[in-house]
Amino acid sequence: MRAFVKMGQLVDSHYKKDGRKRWTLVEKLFLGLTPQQYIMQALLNPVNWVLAIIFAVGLPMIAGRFFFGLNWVTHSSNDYPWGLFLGFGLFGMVPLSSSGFQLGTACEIFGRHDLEPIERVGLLNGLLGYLFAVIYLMVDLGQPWRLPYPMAVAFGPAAVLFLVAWHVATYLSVQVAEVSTSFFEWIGWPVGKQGVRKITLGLTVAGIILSTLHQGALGALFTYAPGKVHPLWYSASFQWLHFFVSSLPGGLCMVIAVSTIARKTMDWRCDDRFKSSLDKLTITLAKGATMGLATYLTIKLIGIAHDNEWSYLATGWGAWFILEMGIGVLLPLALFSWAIPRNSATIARLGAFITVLGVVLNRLNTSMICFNWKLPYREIPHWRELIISITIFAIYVVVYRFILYRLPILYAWKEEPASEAVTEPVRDLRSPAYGEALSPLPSYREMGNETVTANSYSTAADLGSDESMRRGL
Amino acid sequence: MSGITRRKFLCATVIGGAMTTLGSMCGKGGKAWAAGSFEGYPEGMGVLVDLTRCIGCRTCEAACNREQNLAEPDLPFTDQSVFETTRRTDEDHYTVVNRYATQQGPVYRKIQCNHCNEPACLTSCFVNAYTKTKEGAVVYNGKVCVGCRTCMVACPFNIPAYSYSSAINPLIKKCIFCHETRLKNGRPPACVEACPQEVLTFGHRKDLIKLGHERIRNNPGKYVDHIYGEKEVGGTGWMYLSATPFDQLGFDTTLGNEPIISNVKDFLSTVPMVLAIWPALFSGIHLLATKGKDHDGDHGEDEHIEKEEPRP
Amino acid sequence: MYTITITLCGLMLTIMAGITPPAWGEDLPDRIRIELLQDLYSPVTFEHARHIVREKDCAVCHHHTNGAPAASERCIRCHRGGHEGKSMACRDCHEKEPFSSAVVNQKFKNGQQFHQDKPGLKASYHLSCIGCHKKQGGPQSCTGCHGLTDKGEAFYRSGKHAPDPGKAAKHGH
Repeated sequence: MRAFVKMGQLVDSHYKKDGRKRWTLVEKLFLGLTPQQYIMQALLNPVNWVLAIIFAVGLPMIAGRFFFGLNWVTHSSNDYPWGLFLGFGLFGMVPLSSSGFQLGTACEIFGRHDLEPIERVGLLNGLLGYLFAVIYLMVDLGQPWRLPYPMAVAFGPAAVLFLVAWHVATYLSVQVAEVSTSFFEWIGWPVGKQGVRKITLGLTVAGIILSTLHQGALGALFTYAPGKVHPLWYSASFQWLHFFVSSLPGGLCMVIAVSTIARKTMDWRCDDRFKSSLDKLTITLAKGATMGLATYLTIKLIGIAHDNEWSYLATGWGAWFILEMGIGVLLPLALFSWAIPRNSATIARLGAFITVLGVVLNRLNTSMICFNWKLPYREIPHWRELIISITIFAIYVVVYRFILYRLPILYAWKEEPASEAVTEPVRDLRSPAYGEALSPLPSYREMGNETVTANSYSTAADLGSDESMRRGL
Repeated sequence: MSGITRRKFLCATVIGGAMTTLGSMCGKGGKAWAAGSFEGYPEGMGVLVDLTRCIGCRTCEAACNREQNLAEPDLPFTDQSVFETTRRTDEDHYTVVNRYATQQGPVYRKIQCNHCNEPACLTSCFVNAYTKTKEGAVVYNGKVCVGCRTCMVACPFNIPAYSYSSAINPLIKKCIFCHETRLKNGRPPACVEACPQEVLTFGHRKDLIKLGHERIRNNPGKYVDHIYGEKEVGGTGWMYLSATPFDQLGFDTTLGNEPIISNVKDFLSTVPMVLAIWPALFSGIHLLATKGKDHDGDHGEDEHIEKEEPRP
Repeated sequence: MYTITITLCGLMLTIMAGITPPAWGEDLPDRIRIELLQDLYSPVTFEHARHIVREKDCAVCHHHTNGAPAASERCIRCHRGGHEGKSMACRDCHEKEPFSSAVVNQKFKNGQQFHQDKPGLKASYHLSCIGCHKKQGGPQSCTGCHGLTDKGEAFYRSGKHAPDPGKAAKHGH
């Protein structure tokens, strides 16, 4: 892809290199390449070969699930009604998608604008994670066409799942709105973007309310089955807090993970601001994750003490619990504690990947492995269930990549025509989240920004000049 | 400048808060669930299952199969080899009898939906598919069921089964106390009527508790002095008497007397609190965090819109 | 075969028993035909006479209704004997439909202090008969006393109506 980009030009503003012709939507979709070039780059990408195999096997299987029913793809267990679709797809992916509200809150509520280069990655991660959690749910539900029922047809308000359903529906709208700013920039509809920017604060507060509750609610679902989840993974009083708090490092580390992968595989798409700030931002996110992990460890220990479950640690289940906490919490804590003072983004990234796996493991344990611990048998998911889960994850990756290739997430959209002779500093390489740079005249705020926020990302060097434009892409 | 901006903030916050409130409040927390103090409707019926009488003839299974038009079984109902494994209810078996080896010889136990006073399935259902009727049956409305199977997770007795084999209309399958065909019309369920040994005594739940204690008292030393289901998980409609300690017969004796909803209430009660407190809390943090910093105008507000020049 | 032989012996014994005290054995039925489960099972021919010879004490099955003291310690407190009941037949005290709404609604409300836990007729037969057969020997299985009718076989999906053994199970678990 990088080679093709060198040949052609990058779509990072409304105008082509000559500054006069606008990109059409089709051209934007094809990333500024000719269709032949686009297909060529797709065929040459080895990731696509793997994806092709996965889709060839998995897509018919998904169709089969709907034609033949759930008993074709699962073991039709009445003791283990929930399998990988929910255990991994819903319970696993939702905590990893908490980055949306965390980064939104950090930037908009706490005013941490230094995080802005990565804010959109966090928001997109959140949106896609929840969207695909819902897609996994649709595959798992017995009658997915009835998904709107709790909204409109029949209400069971005392049920935790009722809260989850309403919240996820509302929160998806909030997230779509939050990500829509980048969409409106890309598509060239500033009115839409301004409209959304006006209610951003409200959206963010709504996001944090909804997220607190439904992250917790997914944990509270297990309080319906107090005897079925092993006591080390279950806390009568704190289940929802355990799920909520563990989602915090999960989301932040997922952003670190995704940004690392994006940086490695989509180098051509990342702009200088993103590339040069990424390491620092990784450390910042890692700091947040560390606090989250340390808090989680504490509240897990409190949970065990509260229910006096220490004796379970000496059992086989206890060993498995210690392993999960060791790999998922203690190891990343150690890695982060080492990496942060030394500003080692690489080690922090390692810690982040491990944390992501740890959070997923915790959810799989709670919902599948340590579920029904009193029964004499464990359920191993059906192989078709595994393939479908992998396939949907592959679709998630493809959609993620599709959006990252196009929308201004990893790069800032240039609002002004790019021209060879630049007569004034191109100030719009700064955060598009401000929604400014529509005015070509320097405003007092822009001038002010160059000095006021020392920790803000936009230092003079990165405000961009001819040089970086000609050099970077 | 700050006056307009702050007003806009609060406005935006209220919009955000209202959105979430509308979206989520929907009657939540409206019902007051008193823990474990609902003893069933006054006319509520129940069944007392006396495990000292069961001989494992499986007539109840056959009667249920016929009454509920269930699928043909794999083996005749007179077959005794089924007792070699422990079975559970499934989409074609609303009730099964299992055999347990004890020191006094084999003991047979019939399992079926216990028609709890405060059913976990009912409280966990987000489309209100379950109803506890005044006759005491916990019945299921397949027309609204989405198939989330939370009720299967919630039931402490692992009773609801799912018809996974159906692609178009999979539903929960469980004993419904013969509500439609018999209970509504004042008749006992099919299994009760069929049982040759009257293992199953049908009557008003309150009477059955008296009867059960009377039977224990009248036969000193014969029964374990406990009616299983009298208080467990808030009390169940179907209760058990046994000569053998219950945990040896596959009963879960760790359930406690609180209905399942009690576990969830703590979380549910935080919901309206979060909805009410978070907006002010985070708006306040926002104002504190950005006080003095030039952040106010950065939400695409007034002055930038005014200064915008039309695109060429 | 077996039944006929035993019947004949029973008949003879009954006649002989008839000429020995106690004299009240004369008007007792020798064989009782029970057709309660007519639908599913063929009628039972109950060898009353044989059982009289075996048990001798009527109270074992008939409680205290013949005027003898009750067999159970629990009952003897009130039923010390000497007072015949209105009827000795099981069906005259034990209801054929013990769970009709009439009976169920009257539980604990009919003024009776005791006898609220009275089994129905079908259960009385089975509890009494099988209970004793377990201790003393005798048929304990369903078909040991009464064979299945065709309707019964259909009900139990046995015999002619048994499911095809070649049919595989629909799904796992």
